[in-house]
Amino acid sequence: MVNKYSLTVNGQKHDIESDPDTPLLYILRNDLKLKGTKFGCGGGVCGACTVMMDGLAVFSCDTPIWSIDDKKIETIEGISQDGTHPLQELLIDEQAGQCGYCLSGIIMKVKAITDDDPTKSVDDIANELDRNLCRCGSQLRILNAVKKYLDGMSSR
Amino acid sequence: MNMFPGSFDSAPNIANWFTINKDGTVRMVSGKVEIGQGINTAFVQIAAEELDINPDRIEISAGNTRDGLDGGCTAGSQSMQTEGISVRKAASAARMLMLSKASELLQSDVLELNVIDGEIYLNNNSTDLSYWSIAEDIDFNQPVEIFMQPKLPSQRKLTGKSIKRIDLKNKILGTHEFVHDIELDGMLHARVVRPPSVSSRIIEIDIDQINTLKKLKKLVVNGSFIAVITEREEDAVKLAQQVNKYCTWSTPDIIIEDPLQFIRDTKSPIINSLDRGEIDELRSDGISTEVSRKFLCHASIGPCCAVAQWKGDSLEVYTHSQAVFAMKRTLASIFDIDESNVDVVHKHGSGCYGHNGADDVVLDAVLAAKELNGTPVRLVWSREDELSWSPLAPGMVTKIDANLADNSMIESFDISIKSPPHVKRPSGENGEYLLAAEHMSSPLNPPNPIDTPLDKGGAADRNSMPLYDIPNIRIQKQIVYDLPWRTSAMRGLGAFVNVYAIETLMDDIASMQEIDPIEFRLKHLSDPRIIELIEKVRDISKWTDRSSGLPKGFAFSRYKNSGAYCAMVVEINIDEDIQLINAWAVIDAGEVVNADGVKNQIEGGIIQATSCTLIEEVNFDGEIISATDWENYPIIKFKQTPQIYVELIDRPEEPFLGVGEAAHGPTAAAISNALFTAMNIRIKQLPITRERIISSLNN
Repeated sequence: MVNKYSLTVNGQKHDIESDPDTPLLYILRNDLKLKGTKFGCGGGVCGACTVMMDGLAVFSCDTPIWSIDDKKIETIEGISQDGTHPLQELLIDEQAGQCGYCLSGIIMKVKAITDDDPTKSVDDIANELDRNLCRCGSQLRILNAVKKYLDGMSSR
Repeated sequence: MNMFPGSFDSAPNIANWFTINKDGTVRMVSGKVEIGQGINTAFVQIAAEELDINPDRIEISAGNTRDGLDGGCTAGSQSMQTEGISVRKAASAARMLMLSKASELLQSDVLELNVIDGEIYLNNNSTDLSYWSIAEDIDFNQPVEIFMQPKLPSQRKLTGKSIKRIDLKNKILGTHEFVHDIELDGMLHARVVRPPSVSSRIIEIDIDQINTLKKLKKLVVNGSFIAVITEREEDAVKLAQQVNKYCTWSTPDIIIEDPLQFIRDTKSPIINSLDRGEIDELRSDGISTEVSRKFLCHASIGPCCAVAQWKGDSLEVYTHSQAVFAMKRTLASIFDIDESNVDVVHKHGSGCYGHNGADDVVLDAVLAAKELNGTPVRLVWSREDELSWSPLAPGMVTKIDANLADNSMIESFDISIKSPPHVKRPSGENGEYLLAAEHMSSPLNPPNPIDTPLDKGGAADRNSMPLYDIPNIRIQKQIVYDLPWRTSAMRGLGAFVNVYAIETLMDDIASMQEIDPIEFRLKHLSDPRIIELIEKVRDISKWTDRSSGLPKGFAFSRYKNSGAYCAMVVEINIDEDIQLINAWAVIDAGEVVNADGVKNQIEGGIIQATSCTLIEEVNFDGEIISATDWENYPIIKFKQTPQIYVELIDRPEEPFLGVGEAAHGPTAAAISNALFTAMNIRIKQLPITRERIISSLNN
């Protein structure tokens, strides 16, 4: 059964024809060619597929398209026009990553948390990243970048 | 003796390595691939140094069999020690060849010339010449060996600096193209239909029923290798599960209750790795330890992926394999086609930490694509595939009997190692160690691999040779080939457990003699490089001030006894679980090319090793591997992140030493030693879990 859905991704409206239970992840990657969002587990446990939906972090791998009609989606490609979002710049400064596969999901999760509440501490964020896994061991560098990002937000 | 370790056999000429372009860019070829360790950045940095150009000018092509440069497997922390040197020589040769040409044109001596970012200067005055203007008229097909003239350490300017990773920015921006992101015209998606366990084979498959399933483009059946091909990726995911309902698989008849006990009881032949001096039986005042580790998963965050396309008898593959040339030879062997018909191209994958399923998924994709003439097929493993069908890191048992001399010094170590194989990488004909090769209608049964001998770095016995001054040492290993599960290399190989055994035993003996464990080690050391390393970590961790605060533990090793040196002190917190709070590591990696790159490897190594030490273990239900998702194979989380302080001892006059695996063994042993200091309990089976601590306290 193919239905029509309308969703706004990074500010751009798209009309999609899809089975209702198709996970958002595959719509983003294969229909809209936004490949920055990654497949990791398919069960909403590892966080590699994290995007923002109406400002909240969701796992795109287990979010079916039927549930997101008319919602606003933000992906890694959309968080700044020129790739200079301060969180990304700080991650580059800290060289926070090794293979980099987990990073876009972590960035989207941190952005969702801090957009909602910029007063969170780095420890709060470490706790809330419970379902974002990194196997290379870049957690320390990522949290160092997040800390600077939080410091920057509180001084703005 | 081969003067040129690395890739010079396949690439003797400057042109094999570098192309100098008119537009001010340089194309560089690398035989070693990026697996998240930053190696290609280090290579660019080495080349930019020798060429005297800005590193931004260099575009690197790594791991493409079409380039012809066979760098072997990117593994074993070898890339800097082998190809890093080759890159330096080749780049210096390119520079010298261009300066020779410039000196002809300027009618000057080469020694009067210098280069600033590719512009050529004569006696420090600018000229009309640059690399970009003269390269066209130079034949670069000349031997590196003739022209190479690397800079002296004192002449290097860029080496040792922390330039940023060439690939990381785009990974942070989400624009880097991983192998998972490749999209070829008309590409279809595939998934494998998995049997219930490793030795199950297909008995019956209801093809008529399967062919009624909607959205199935093609069912692939080749013996027990079964896959579905669809137009949309999500349909392949669903159909792989649906098709399995129409498959009847055999069930294995041998059940192994306790795999570690099976390894302990092995009757495999004993291989003597080392026999030095005299070994007596363990005496009554001697001390013995037997440590073990359960099987581990590589546990990559992104499941393995490959894209394959057949065009007649020609095959093209995109892969995150660590060994593209070995893959090319292996595929040519399996399909009985000429090697020249196979192109294998590396694309970045999710971190692998050794031999995960990166190679296996290639054959899966190639078998699926073979069913379609010319249509490219992308095949991604499921999370369950990644955890339970990738080769596992073998469970393993290491026992050491130590006798002490009258002066309390160690007289002998008698070391016994029992382990399934650590290296089953595909290697061409008779080395087709690929998962689907066991499942095809004409299954391949390549011979058991030989465990790498200790003098070549060892595999099960890696790092079993202590670097302490111990006059009598015997090392024996037994390789267990008769377990059903597939095992292969994971970061450190046997070093993880062997360093754990040696370094926890050193603390046990020191404790028995009531000597400070670092003092006790220093009494057994005469290599000034190791002594400096250990004294430095003792200083920066304030080791001697241990009266208050968190319990500390120490450990040391030199990876493979030929790579980087690592001395570590940790502080742990003992609550409901053990948590690593602080780690201080001092690293001697010889000449450091990129200081931050080395630190990044050590920090990541410590965090990953902490996960392996405190959390990770594969359990089995009969033959079925229970690790199928992140709930039943958990790894370390953000909230468990320690603080890490890494210091490097840079030795610009010394050779590069590989760092990628240096931190693993010391991390595990140092954590265990901290727990031993605090609670006087020694956990001998990894991981160190709450249950094992409680059971140890009860005993």
